[in-house]
Amino acid sequence: MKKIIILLTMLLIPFTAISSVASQMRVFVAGMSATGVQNRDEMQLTLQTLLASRLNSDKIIAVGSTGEADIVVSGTYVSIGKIFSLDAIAKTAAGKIVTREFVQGESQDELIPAIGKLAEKLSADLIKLYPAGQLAAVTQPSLATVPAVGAGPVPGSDVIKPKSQVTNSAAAWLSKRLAGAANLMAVGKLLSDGSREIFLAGDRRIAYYRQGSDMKLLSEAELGNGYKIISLDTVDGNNDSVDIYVTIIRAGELSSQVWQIKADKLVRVAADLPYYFRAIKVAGWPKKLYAQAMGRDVDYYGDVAEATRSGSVITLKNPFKLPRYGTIYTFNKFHDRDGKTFTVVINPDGYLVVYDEELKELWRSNDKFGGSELYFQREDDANFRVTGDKYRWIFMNQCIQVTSKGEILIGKNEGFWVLGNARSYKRGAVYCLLWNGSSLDEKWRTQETQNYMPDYFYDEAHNELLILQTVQRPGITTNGASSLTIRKVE
Amino acid sequence: MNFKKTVAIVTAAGALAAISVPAMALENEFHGMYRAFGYMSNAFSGGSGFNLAADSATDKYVEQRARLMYIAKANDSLKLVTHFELDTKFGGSSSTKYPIGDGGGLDADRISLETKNVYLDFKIPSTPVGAKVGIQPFNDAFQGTFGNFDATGAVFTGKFDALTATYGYFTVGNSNTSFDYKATPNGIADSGTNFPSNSGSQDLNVLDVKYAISKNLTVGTSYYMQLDKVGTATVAKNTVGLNAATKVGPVDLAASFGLQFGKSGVTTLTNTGTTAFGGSVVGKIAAGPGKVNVSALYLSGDKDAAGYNHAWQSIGTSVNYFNAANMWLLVRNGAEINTATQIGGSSDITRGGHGLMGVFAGYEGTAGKVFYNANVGYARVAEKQAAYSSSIGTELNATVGYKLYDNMSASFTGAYAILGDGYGKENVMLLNGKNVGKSYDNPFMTNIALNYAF
Repeated sequence: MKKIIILLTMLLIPFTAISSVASQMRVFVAGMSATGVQNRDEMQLTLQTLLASRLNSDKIIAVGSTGEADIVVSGTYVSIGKIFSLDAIAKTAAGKIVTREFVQGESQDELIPAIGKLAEKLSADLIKLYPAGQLAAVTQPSLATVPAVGAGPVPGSDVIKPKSQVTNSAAAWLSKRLAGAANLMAVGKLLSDGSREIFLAGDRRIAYYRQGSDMKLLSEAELGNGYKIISLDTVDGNNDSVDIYVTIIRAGELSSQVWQIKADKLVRVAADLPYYFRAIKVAGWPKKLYAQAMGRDVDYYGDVAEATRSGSVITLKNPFKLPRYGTIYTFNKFHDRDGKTFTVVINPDGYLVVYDEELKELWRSNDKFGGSELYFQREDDANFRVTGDKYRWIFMNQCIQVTSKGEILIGKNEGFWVLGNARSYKRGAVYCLLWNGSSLDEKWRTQETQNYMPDYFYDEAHNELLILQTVQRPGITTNGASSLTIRKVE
Repeated sequence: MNFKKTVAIVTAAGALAAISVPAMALENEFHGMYRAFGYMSNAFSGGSGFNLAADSATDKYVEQRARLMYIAKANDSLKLVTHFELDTKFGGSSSTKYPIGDGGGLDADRISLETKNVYLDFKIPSTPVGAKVGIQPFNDAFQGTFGNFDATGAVFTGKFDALTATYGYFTVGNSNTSFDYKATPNGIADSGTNFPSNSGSQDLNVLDVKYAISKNLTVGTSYYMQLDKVGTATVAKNTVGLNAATKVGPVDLAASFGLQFGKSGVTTLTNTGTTAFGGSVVGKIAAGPGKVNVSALYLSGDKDAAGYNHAWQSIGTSVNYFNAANMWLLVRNGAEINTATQIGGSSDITRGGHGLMGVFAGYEGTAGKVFYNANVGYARVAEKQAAYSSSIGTELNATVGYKLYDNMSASFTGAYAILGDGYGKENVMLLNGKNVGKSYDNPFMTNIALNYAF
């Protein structure tokens, strides 16, 4: 009998805990935009993390996505001179504003205490408004509140976890059909109204969109004949602007450009830069601009280095060597639990290869990843007689992103017609992998798209995946079309 | 143990072994190309010659080439490369390559599959050295003027940071070779066209070293040694060279210079000896929607076919190129297929030991899916020998095309050459050794091309 009582008691403990969790208000800190600071992305993520942890209490639990949240908090951080202001707004998942709060400070030293004060104020308001805790009536995911244009929420699961761990559905946001087949996507600033800047690039076209309830085309620019865009990246520039680095091949040589948004228009601020550019978070943190040169006989010359720009002058520093197959577009790094740094590279056959700190190969995947139809060409007179092609084709690949938690994200395209230089992918997905000490384990992956996926971007601050799809390929009489899907990662 | 039991045990053991062997992830990689030319020309006729005549007739024909490459890749350090070629003239043609026809005739029932390459490409473990062994392509460091060919051999390439070193050994021919590899050895008789039946061979050793000083400057040096052997005797002909590639502002420049010395003669070893030289400069300048191409070539010639041979000598008369010229009539075009030829009647860029001097310029660009180029070039031989003039002529050509798909295009090309006095003058000895009593017509060529490469 005693044993049965102990057993029943043990069985009841989890229910007690669940009950306790259920009585807490679930709050998601969606994002904190930052204005007037350098390293904006880094700052936004920091503010979001700090506020979420300080909101956590016995009455409030900070959750990881809007899909789980009763209340969604967003805010802004504005710094003018030494004075800063933290403003926050709390909404129900249905979008109804429930409270606003702000805290000011006079130096950066006061920032962290100010976040604590802001969290206290918000907690007090929320507990006062909803003393019963959970808001049962308003548990719809916030994405569902964004009216999708052209298509409704996609039914079914967004994220497929290996084994049987399939997560619950969260609606995806779909853009309308976007004119022009885009090869590349880059994300700019998150604006105070919650919308975000998105840049798309085709072979010769750059388009500036604002993604709010729909995708609004604000500006576009077309490069001249003979130019081909092979990479598109954004980094914080001076004066609260975003620098858009456009890596361009012209006549087989690099002729890259930098653009900015001025009065909602795309404006070119630098040109003829002889570098490949890429802005990524190496080892998950922080986002920096990197550059690599082109050689006379080799397509990627020398080491990859951090780059800074002053006008049209690019300065390189902190170069680092990459292992076999490592180029500016095929590598990233990650740390394991012990703090060791590993380099992961996608090789030309599409296999992920992991190298240790001495750049010795440790592991390679059995599955193929990556896959891109985007390429550039260089004259290849040495092989013209053999290949019958005056040019050699250098294919780009899917970007390897690494999160601050060390997760490795990689896109994967598949198709029935991938033969030599003729590539036509049919569907794509994004995979999340995690180093288990000896190999990369699949953590989750998205559902396959119904179209070729030329690019993707993981917005870690919002836990959202932006997936670009080619819904119509360019042909003789059409420039093709794209669409953007935004999925929550749960 | 009876036989049945033994068989059963062996079978079971075999099956177990087969299961136990780890599966090799063989990658199948395919590449290929298809190109068809529909020609109309008073110079090209679908054979190996280049027609020069007074009141020459216009010929029309279509030819095609397909190439299929299959690569069996065990991993990224080991692959077998196979490459095959199928050449066809519409309507069919018998030739040295295809004695019973090429499959272009009625019912297409002929054999026309050629070996292009068959070689093993692998990385030597724990070294930065890669090796290729078998029938493989090789391109020289002299813009193809020494040799751009396929041959049997072994090539080792090591990459040591900015330095790349290549050593290769090729057996170009031996006594069993029936290929007429030196029918006209640059004007200097080798007393025969084939290797002797009982002995004789030619080997080629190549050493190329390149060093990337910076992203904008690469320098290199080369040493090629041809060994002609008869019995136990051997003579060597050497080619040494320097090359560089640089980028200065919007200008890409590549230059090479080579010096040849030594003896050759695969049949008798009696060739007096060679002292020759050649050089080229190739420039590409990005401009507007395309680029300007300029190039110049000098290959020394032999003045009198006596004593030392001063003519630049490639390893074979049919394996030399200068694609940077972008010509169709003065110098054969790199895109040409089955019947590639040029003024002078063969694919020998030195015109039988006269040597060559040429300057070439052009512009190529794109407008959306349209691509175009226009070129002009002038060429003369370096030594006219007994001819009236050294001038070969001036060529004008232009191409306009449309990319139907990323890797398929259709284009139209027209080329016209104004013959120089070396070929066009009346009643004098011409460069090809004839005295025909009247001037030749200026040659022209038009073609419609379909091109697909993957």
